Amino acid sequence: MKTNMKKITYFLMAMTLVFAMSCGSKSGAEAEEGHQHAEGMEHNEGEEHPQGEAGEHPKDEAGEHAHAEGEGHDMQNMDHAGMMGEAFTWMAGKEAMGMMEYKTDNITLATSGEEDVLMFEPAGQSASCMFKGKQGNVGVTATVKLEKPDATVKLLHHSTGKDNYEFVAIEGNTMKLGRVENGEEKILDTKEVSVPNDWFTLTVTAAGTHFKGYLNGEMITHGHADEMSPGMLGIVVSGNGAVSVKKVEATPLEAEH
Amino acid sequence: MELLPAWAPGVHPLIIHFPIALLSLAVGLTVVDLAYSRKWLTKATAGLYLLGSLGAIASYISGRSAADSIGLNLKAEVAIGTHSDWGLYTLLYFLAMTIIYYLVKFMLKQDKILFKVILAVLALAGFFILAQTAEYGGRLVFEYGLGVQN
Repeated sequence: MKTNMKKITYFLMAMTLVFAMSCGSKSGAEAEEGHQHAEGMEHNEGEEHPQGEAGEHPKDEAGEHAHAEGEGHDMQNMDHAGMMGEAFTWMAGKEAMGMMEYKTDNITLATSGEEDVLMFEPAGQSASCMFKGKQGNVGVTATVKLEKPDATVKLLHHSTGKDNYEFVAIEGNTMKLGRVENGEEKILDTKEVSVPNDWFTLTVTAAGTHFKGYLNGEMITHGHADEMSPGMLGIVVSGNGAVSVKKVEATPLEAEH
Repeated sequence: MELLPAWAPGVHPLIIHFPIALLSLAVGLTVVDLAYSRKWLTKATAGLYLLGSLGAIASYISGRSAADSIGLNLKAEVAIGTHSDWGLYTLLYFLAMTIIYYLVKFMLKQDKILFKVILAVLALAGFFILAQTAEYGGRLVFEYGLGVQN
């Protein structure tokens, strides 16, 4: 009996040793692989995404992204960029309008100072635009400015229709992080923020079941929920104020191995 | 006088190695108990589980705080979430393991080989979860450079 116990102990100790060694070698290999990924990402960052790439998109599917309630959607007759899981940077300007799946009529190209901006003037309703392509785990940053008060700006991601999406929103002096599932809104986290009068960056990250909202790079909200299917990115502004947007950047987040 | 050294990004990296060492040792002694059973060893193992679990609570709380205080880092975002998830699994698992160990050894006073084997298997499974958490934590520092100055 005593001999058997010794054998079992030696066996378990050997198993532990083998496990520890396999963890070590796996870690080294992953570190090497991760380094290569990181290098690849640097090439993508800040890169203008070419328009009109492969990937046809049925128009009726795009029509589902009707976030502006009670308004007709001016569907743009544009090619689908097919940016599934790819990094892109959108800068306001005529050329960049082709990267949009659609936008409502109350969004116009304007200038703020010397810069081209996209001006959202919902006039009591909603002004919305969606970008082409679908993203899974993603970090999205929009550079925005509240031109006139009384406007709520929502940065959407994982949008698969008007009733299913996730968002980070600036509503007055509050940042809300949440999701809409089958038309029902669920707030994951909400915090008071001091919203700048000038340009600021609004960022949302979706990494698995972790969702975070940032203002000017500082984390404000952090919530947890089930992972949603990949979806489109977009911006929705509601209220009586006006909001201008000059830049939107999307970065797919590295999957863990 | 500052409690934290200037180079430390928070208390998490200062705390985290205690539960790793304490719980790893507890797992080792649980396995040793299969062949070398002594009362003092059982008491020491129980103490290690308790202290390790308390350290895991402190580590998890400080880790959440650390994760929320770092600025936007898109490259590390998924790894931070994964490390956080494994950290929570480790905490919950070893809290349960500590309760089970105390129950078996001190309340039921079971010293049969079957219970020893069950405890050893549970302990080794816990070590796997602990190792996963530690691996992702290490990657956050050495692969993504989180909390590293310059």
